[in-house]
Amino acid sequence: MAKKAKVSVRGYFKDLMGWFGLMKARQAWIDAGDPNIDTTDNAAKLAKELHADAVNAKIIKIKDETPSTKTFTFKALEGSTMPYFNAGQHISVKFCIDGKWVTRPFSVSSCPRDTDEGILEITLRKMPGGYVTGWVWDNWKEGTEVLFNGAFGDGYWSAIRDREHVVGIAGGSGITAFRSIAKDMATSGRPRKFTILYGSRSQDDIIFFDELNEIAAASNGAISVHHVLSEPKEGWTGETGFIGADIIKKLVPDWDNVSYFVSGPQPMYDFLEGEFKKMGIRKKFIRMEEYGETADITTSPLYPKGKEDKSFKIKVIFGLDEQVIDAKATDTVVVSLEKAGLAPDSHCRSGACGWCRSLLLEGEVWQRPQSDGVRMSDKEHGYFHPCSAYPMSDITIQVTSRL
Amino acid sequence: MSDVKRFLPHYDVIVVGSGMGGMTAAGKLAKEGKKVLLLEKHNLTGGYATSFVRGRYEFEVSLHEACEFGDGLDGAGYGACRAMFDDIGVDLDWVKVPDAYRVILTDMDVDFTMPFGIENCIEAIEKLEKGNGKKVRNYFKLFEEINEALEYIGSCGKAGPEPKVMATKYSSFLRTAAYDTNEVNKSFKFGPKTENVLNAYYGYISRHLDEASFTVWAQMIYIYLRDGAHVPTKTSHEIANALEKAIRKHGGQIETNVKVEEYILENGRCVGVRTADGDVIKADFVISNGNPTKSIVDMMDRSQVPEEAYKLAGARKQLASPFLVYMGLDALPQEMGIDSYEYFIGRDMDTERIWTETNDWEPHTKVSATCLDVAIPGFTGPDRCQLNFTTIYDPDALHKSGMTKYDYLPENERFANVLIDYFEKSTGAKIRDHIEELVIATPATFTRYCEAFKGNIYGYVCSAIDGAVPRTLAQEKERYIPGLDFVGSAGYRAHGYSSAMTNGYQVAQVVLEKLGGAENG
Repeated sequence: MAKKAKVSVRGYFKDLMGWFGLMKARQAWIDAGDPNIDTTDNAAKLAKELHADAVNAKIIKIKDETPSTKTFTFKALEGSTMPYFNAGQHISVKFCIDGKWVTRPFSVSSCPRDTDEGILEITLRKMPGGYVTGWVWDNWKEGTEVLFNGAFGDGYWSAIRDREHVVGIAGGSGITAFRSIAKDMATSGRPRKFTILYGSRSQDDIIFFDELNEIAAASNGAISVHHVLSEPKEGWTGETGFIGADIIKKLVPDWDNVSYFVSGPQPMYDFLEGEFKKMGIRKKFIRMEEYGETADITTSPLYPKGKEDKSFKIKVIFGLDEQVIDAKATDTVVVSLEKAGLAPDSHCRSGACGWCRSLLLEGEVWQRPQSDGVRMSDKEHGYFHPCSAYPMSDITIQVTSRL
Repeated sequence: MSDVKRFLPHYDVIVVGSGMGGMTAAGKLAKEGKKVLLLEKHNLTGGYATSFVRGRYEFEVSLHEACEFGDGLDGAGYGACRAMFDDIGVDLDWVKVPDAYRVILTDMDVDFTMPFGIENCIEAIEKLEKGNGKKVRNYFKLFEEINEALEYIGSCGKAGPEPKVMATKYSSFLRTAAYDTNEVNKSFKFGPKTENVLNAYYGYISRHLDEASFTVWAQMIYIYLRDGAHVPTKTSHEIANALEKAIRKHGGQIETNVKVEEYILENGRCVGVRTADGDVIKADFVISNGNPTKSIVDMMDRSQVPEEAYKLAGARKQLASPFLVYMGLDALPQEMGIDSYEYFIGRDMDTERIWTETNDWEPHTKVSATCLDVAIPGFTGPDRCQLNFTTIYDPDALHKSGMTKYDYLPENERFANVLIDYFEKSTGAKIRDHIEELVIATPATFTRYCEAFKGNIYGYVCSAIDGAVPRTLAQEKERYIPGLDFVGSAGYRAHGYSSAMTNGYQVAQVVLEKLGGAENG
C-alpha cells in the first residue's frame, strides 16, 4: 500500500481518545435519553383522513333522479370518519349479497366539503340485468348500513398538469363525477373553467338536468353545460348524435387549449380516442379514467376467440387454505372468486389500481389490455390483476386478501 | 373477515415487514432451512422498493442507485450485495448508472459532474478547483484505509478485532471514528467548490454533515465513487419480486395485507405477533422491519421491556421524511435538455443551512432529480420518459405544520411548482409543458403504504455516536428484548438500499446462530 493518509482533526491524541471513549459516550447519551416518547403522527392522521380503510355509514336519503337513477346519501356512523377526497375520485363499496361479498367502484357525486358533515353521495343507474344495482334497488332503503373504503383514483384536476379550462365529456351515468367537480368549484376554484358536454339517449335519461343548470347559472360563467342526445324525443332543439370532433369544435371555441376529462362507457372511450387523434390532442390533455369491468367481455374485439363458452377450475391458495372453484372464461377471476364466496378486496375493477394483484402459479389468463396496470416486472414474475383477467385454462393462483 | 386458516401456529422465525432488510433476512433464513413467515401490511412486498403505474408510465418509487452490486467484470470489485444475492439465490438484471452525480450550485456558479473511479474524481476536482486534487487524493486515501479497517473488523467474527492490529494498521480509522463528517472534512481545508461538490452526496447519509458519522460517510461515498452503482432493469419492484421468488423457493411463506398490531412478549421475551385480524402467531424469533421506536412504544407491553430501550429510543432522532414529485414527460430527455441521470441542485451544499430550512414544511430548493431514462434509454417508452424530484424534511416538519386535509392537494402543488421552476432555471431544461402524469408523495403517502413513522424513510440520524460502528459494537447489549431484532433502515449499518439489505442478511446470521445453526448446512 502506498503511504498512509494524513489526517488530524483535533490533534493526534485527542482524535485517538475519541475512539476509546466512543462507547462510553454512547452509554452516557442513552442514559440522558428521554424515555417518554410522543408517537402522535400527523402524517398518519392525514393519510387516514384522505384514504379510509373501512367506513361504516348509513343511507339517510334516497333521491330519484330519473326513472332509472337514484342518488344515495351516506352519513358516517359514529366511530367512522367520512374520508375527504378530491372531486373526481371514487369509492369502493362492499356488498354482502346472499352471504357473499362483492365490491363495486362508484364515483362520488357530492361535494368534497360535505364530508365535514359526514356526508357523501353516490348516484347509481340501474342496469338492465345488473346483479348489484338490481339488488341495491330491492334492498337499499333509508337507514340501511353500508360499508366502503376510499377515496381512490386520479380523475381529478391538477393545477400543474392540466389546462385551466376543462371540458368534461360524460356519457350516461358518467356524469356523476362531474357533478362533484362542478359543486366543488365554488370553493376550490379547481378547475378555473368547466364545460360539460353530456351525452344521453333521450331527455328522460339526463341526470341532474335542473341541478347542473342551477350550478352553471350561479357560477359567473365558469361552468357551462351542453346536452347531446342520441335518440331525442320530440321538441329537442339542442345537439343530437354522439359527442365527437365536430360537436366539440362547435361547442368549445378554445377546444385546442383545454384539458379533456372523459367519463362514460367503454364504447365512448374507444370512439373518442379516434376523435382526439383526428383533432391532434396530445395524450397529456386527455384523462379517461376507467373503472368497473366490461359487462360482456366477448364484445371486445381483443378477447381470445374460441374461449367464449369454456369453463375452467381455479385452485385458490390463501395462506394455508386451498380451494378449487369453477370459473367461466367470460368472468373475471375476481367475479369467479366472488361467486364462490372467496372475494378478495378489489377497488377499481378495471385492472388499473392493482389492489387485487395476485400470483399466477399455474395456467394461463388473458389480461384485458385497456388500463392494464400490471407492472413490467410483475408480468415476468407471473403476477396479474384478477379484476380484469380471464382464465384461459385451469389455473392455480395465490391471493392476498379475503373479505 | 372470514376465519380461514392462513397461518401455522408456530414458525421458526416471523419477519414483520417486507422492506429490503426484512426480505434479505427472510431469504437467508429460509435458505438455511428455517421455517419463515414474512408478513407485510401492504398488498405487495418491497417497502419503498416498488413501482407504480399511472397511464402509460411505470414510475420507480425510491431507488436512485444501489451500491455493491458490481459484477466484477469492469475492473471494479464483485459487489458484497451481489454476493449476498447469489447466496440467497436472488436473480435479477442490473444496469450500471452513467456518472456518480451532477452538482449544480446556483449561488456558486458551479455545474460539476462527478465521474466514477477514484482517479477520475481526483482529476475532475483538480480541474474544478486548482490545488484540490492533491487534498482529495489524501481524503480518498483515508476513505480507503477506513474501508480496509471495516473489512478487517467484519472478518474478525465473534473474537473481535485485535487492538494491536487496529492501532498499528488502522489508526486513521480509529482517529476519525468518533467524529461527524463536517469536522473531519474541515480539517482537510478544501477550497469552497471542492467542499460543496463533495458534500453534495450527503442526502443519502444524513440530514446534515454535522450529524453524520464520518466512518459511515467514508464507507458510503468511497464504495460509490470507486465501484459505481446499479439500478435494476425493471425498477426496484424487480428486486422485491426476485427476493420473493427466492424466499418461496426456499419454502418461506409470504403473506401480504397482514398488519401486525402487537409483538407478544412473555417474561420479557418476544414469542410472536398478533395481527389486526386477530391471529396470534408464535415463533422462536421475530425480526422486525418496522420503526423500533414506534414498535416498542405502541406495539408491545411496556412493562416487560427494560427502561433503557426507551431511553435509547428517546436519545435517537428520526432522520428524514421526503417530499417527492414523479413526472411522466411526453418527450425524450434530450429533447427537453435533460442529460444527466442524477442531479443534486441547490444554492450551495451548506448542509447546516439547508437542514435549518427543512425543519419547516415549506418548499426548499435542495433537490435531487433523477431521470431513469438517462440510465436506461427507452425505459419509460420510445417517446417519453420519467423524472422525479426528491427533497427531504425533518420528520416533525409536516407533523407540526398543521397541514389540513383541505390544504393537502393545493399545498403539494405549490411545493411541486417551486421545484419545477427551480429545476428548469438551474438546468436550462424545459419540462413543464411535457408533464403528462404528475404524482406527488409526502410523508403521509409513506405512512399510508408502508407505515413509515411520521413518513420517515431513513431510520435514525446516523451521527458519530449512533453510526454503524457503535451500533454494531452494541448489537448484543442493546437487544433489549430477547427474541426480537430490528432490521432495515434502523439496523446496524443504517439506511439505504445496500445497507438495509446488509442489515437483514447480518441479522439473519445472528438469528441463525441463536437458533442453533442451519438445518441443511
